[in-house]
Amino acid sequence: MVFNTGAALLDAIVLAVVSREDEGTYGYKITQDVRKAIDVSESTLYPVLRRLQKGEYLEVYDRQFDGRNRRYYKVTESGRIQLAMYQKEWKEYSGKISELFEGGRLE
Amino acid sequence: MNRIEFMETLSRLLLDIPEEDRIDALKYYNDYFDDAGSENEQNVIEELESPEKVAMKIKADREDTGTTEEYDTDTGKGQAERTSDSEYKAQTDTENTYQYYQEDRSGDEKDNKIYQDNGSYEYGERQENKPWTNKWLKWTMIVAIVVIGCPIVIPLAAGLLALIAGIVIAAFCVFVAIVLAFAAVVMAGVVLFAAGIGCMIANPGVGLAVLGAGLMAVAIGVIGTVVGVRLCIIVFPGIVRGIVYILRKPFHRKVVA
Repeated sequence: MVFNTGAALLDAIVLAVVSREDEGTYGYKITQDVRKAIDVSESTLYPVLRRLQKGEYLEVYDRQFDGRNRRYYKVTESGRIQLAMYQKEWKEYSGKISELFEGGRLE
Repeated sequence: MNRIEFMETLSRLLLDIPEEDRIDALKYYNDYFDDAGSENEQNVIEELESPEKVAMKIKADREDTGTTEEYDTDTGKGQAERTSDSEYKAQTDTENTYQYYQEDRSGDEKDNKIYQDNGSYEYGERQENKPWTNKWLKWTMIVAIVVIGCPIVIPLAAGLLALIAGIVIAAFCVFVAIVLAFAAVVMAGVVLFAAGIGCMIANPGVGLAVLGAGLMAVAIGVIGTVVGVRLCIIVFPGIVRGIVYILRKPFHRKVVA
């Protein structure tokens, strides 16, 4: 892809991916889901998850799976607020750019 | 490299971050390997490139998160938090895009544009730092000069000081010697006077002459001693004042500089 994915957009994408699972989701699956949209290396994703966790947008818990404890990530209430903010910003941003690309007039 | 080697190296590389962060990161990558399955183990390792790269990214991000934590506790919860948080976010964004840019140097002008935007931000920060580094540079230079100059300046100063001390002591001794010499003449006069009295019985002529010489010597000695002492009274304070003046001079100049 020719466009860079900045940290804010990466945060937004990860928040969106995690928020789709009510029960929470785990690292490997998050990576697979994010990759459906953008090409990102695993070593980049973990710091994003950690950052969101530290910012209390995500919470983690361990759950038994296949005889081991798997770490799950779940969106918190402030995470949802943050995601809503990102979605709103993105709508504006992408809308304006699309408009520009498609030859429309900017207001 | 296999999974175990990878995890061991990563664990070692993360020894310098807080235990909680380290365990979290190791747990994450361990889970990741588990979920990827042993058949994908090699793919995962190839994709992660190296434990060094993974550790580097964790540490790079940790520095940023460290500031948020402080920020949050400072502002407390509520509205203020949200604003400060978004401010912080904006700051991290620029830093992070810059990082991504660095990874993707093969990119074309679009990337350069982003880099330039961040460039102005970084420039602002660097300007702030400039006086700080200059101050340190100045002090480093001063220390360097002192360290290098010490072997020359200290012996030279010591030599000069010794020279001054030597001259002063010599002058002091000369005057003391004058006084002592006249005192000795007085004593000799007294002895001669006594000897003259002794001689008077055997040979009154010689005795009288010796007695007279003794008295004369006492008189000259007393005059000399008095003059010497007076001289000392005049000269010594002068010398002391001179020393004080010389010693003061460099200190005064230092204060002015």
